Amino acid sequence: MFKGIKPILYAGREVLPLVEGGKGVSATNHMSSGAWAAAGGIGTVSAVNADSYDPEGRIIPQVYHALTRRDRHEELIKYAIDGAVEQVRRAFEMSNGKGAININVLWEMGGAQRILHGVLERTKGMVAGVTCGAGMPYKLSEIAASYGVTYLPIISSARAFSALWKRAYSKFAGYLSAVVYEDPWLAGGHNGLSNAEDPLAPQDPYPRVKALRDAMREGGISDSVPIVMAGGVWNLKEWDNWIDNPELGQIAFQFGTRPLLTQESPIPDEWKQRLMTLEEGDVLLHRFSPTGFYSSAVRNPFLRNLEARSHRQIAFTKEELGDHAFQLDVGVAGKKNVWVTKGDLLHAREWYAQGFTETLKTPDETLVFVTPEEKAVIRKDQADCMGCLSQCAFSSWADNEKNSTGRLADPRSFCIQKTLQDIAHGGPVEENLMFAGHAAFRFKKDPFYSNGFVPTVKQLIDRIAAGD
Amino acid sequence: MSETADRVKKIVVEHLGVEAEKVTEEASFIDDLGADSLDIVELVMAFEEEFGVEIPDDAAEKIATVKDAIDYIDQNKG
Repeated sequence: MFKGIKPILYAGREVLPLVEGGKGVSATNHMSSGAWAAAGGIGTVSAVNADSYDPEGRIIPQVYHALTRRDRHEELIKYAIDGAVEQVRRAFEMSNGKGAININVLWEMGGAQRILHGVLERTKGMVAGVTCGAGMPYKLSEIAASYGVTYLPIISSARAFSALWKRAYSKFAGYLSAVVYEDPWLAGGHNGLSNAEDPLAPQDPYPRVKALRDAMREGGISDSVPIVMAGGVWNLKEWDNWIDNPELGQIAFQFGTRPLLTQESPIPDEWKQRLMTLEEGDVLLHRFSPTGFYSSAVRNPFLRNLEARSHRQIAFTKEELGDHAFQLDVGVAGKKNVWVTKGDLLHAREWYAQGFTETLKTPDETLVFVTPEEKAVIRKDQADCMGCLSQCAFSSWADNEKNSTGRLADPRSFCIQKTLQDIAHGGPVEENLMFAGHAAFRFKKDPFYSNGFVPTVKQLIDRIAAGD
Repeated sequence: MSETADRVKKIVVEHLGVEAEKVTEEASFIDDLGADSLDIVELVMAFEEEFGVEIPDDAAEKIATVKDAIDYIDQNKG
């Protein structure tokens, strides 16, 4: 028998211990988060390049006019602040004083700190907390506290929390309203796997969360400060032994994937329909993201294309060296100084014959084979870069004095801003990055969604609160 | 080799579990020694403890190579 959930005190208000996972770009906005808060939970506006609206209420396309990356980066920051402020204002209004509104940012997004300042400055009294992950956001506490707003670091190990706590958060202990434990093997979007963890060997979240609670206790943090369990959470009946468990302290639950499929969810219908057809194993943990982090998304043609591109890859040297005793004679426009192994020469000729007639260098002294059309798109996307990350493997942009990572732009990755904006605004779901958690296949199996039923946020929250 | 360099390299070897020969002064923590962002934060904290020096966030962000760490510590330790 499911023991049920009880309201918790969060950032000075009583809310259900149910958090809407923030998802950028524009996969959670005022519609979803406002409704989530109105139903008594913690709704999360994604503050990652969110939409603004013109006076007629139409979404303003984020078009970049400046000539340099640095100047386009400035345009991006303005879009990001304006968009997030607008989304927060609307969400707060929709929440009608119930629940709570959080914002979520990716720490490694371009201009993250400036955007946080810009948004919090213009949304005073509306934002209850800032969730932030993807990187080591040790300035999060200082920034949030300076606006009287609480913070919720998203971490994937006790080790990460301890480092952040000792380094920064302990100075702003009073503003820590919860810690989000995001299962790095099961959550959707960017995943917090460190080099110490094996992406192919998932670990049980219970001992990891227990270790996190122990680390929090060591830091003098009360057991009433919730740990928000995120990643792989579908129904709470399966988490019954986590609730009211003195070993874990207060637990709340975050839902990332399920809220994608609600009436209020802002994602296009085609995306919602596709969610209902996913099978187990359709979500792939991979490392193509230009952030350099692992991430999880539906293994659709977009992702398969990236897998195939990385497969069409050979190592080369500029002079004859060891096994590299054969001059590459395809895809290099007659250049004589590209030496490869015999096996790779044969692969290369095969790919060339299949239409992959162009090569692109990677930062790892390899070449990938692409079609002329692909090459043109890759080059254009790299040239159009607007600096949306602190550093981007795909374009080699970095938010530093030189505006460069110092490495070659990597054609095995992709422009994440372009594809996430496209899929969120009606672009083809099969040709774009479709982030999803690893439990997404359960839409198809869960009777709640039978006959194509799409619940309202309130119906979903009622269902979750009942343990289903 | 300076005493600081010796002690920095020892910490790096222990923390990252890499072979001592790989920890040259030019080695980049991320590109050459396989560190991730969590490793970097822990290394910075270990340097602070070992040398009794404070490495503020802005300075920590600029420490990319073993030499960057040694130079910062040499310039700032009491």
